[in-house]
Amino acid sequence: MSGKSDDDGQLALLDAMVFFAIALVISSSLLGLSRDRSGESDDRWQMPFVESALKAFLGASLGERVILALDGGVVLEPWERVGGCLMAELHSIRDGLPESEFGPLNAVLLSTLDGIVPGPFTYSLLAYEPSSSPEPLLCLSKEGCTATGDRYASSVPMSDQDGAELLLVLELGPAALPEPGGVRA
Amino acid sequence: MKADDRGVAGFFEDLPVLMFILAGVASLVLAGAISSRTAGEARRQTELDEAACSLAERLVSEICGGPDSGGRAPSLASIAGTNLQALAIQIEPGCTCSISLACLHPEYEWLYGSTGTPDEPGSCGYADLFFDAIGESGLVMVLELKVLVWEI
Repeated sequence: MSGKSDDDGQLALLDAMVFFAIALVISSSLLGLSRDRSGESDDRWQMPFVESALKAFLGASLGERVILALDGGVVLEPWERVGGCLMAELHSIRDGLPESEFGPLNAVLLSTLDGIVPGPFTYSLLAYEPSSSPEPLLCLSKEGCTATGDRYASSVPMSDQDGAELLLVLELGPAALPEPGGVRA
Repeated sequence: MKADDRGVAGFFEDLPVLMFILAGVASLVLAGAISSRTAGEARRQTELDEAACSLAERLVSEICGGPDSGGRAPSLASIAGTNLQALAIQIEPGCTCSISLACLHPEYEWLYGSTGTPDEPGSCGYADLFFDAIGESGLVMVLELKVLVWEI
């Protein structure tokens, strides 16, 4: 115990440093893993939200009178259901009518979705005919918003007047934050 | 292994060895404690979210008349006469909740809000559901039920 350093003492110091380095690596890995796990949101609670939003949207009334310039003028009364009007529109689009003919109806549908879907979310309502084409027959999206991050979707199978199988999909996603300086007075 | 004093380097050389080992053990213990606390908080948050979602689904089912209603939307008058807070009594022990109900379509209208908010910021479970109801004018309206659950 003279305090004189020798090779064995130096080896003990080296061993201690190696142990410390390994302990740091293990601690960092533990902390990183625990933060990743806690950061992962449990998305299953979002599904009832999206499913109920789509179901309520399709069952709701239009709420206002809509006049379409089709066949000399088609009037949709305020109490008509969104789901029924949407199916009639999709039936006409399948028959070759352009989507632009249903501008007033689509504006009301977008307005209804704007009222239902909370502000931080953006939405897209898509209608597919799975048996014919992967491209949507109709796509209505919230204007001026782009989705970022995870999206949540719910779908409802429906049949039109001819019995064709259609699929309505409501897709929700967090909207991108506006860029600094983009808000005008 | 013959014991000898060749490996004993003296106090001033053993001290750094002791410091490194103590620091290594402390970092392991601290990381373990933080990880277990984080996992516990995440688990508690999941439980609160599950309680909120379950409560919201139960409330909507009660409001809409359950499976015997045949899918018919309830009337706004019947909803106004429902004591939502009384229905929310069957919540997890040690937790309390806040409920709000609003009409979103065709026009926004605040319908119901229970009193009570968390005393301190903390973990809260949240659930949000939509359903249809028939208004006085005969229009089918979209109602939104929001539930907040937190520990007392």
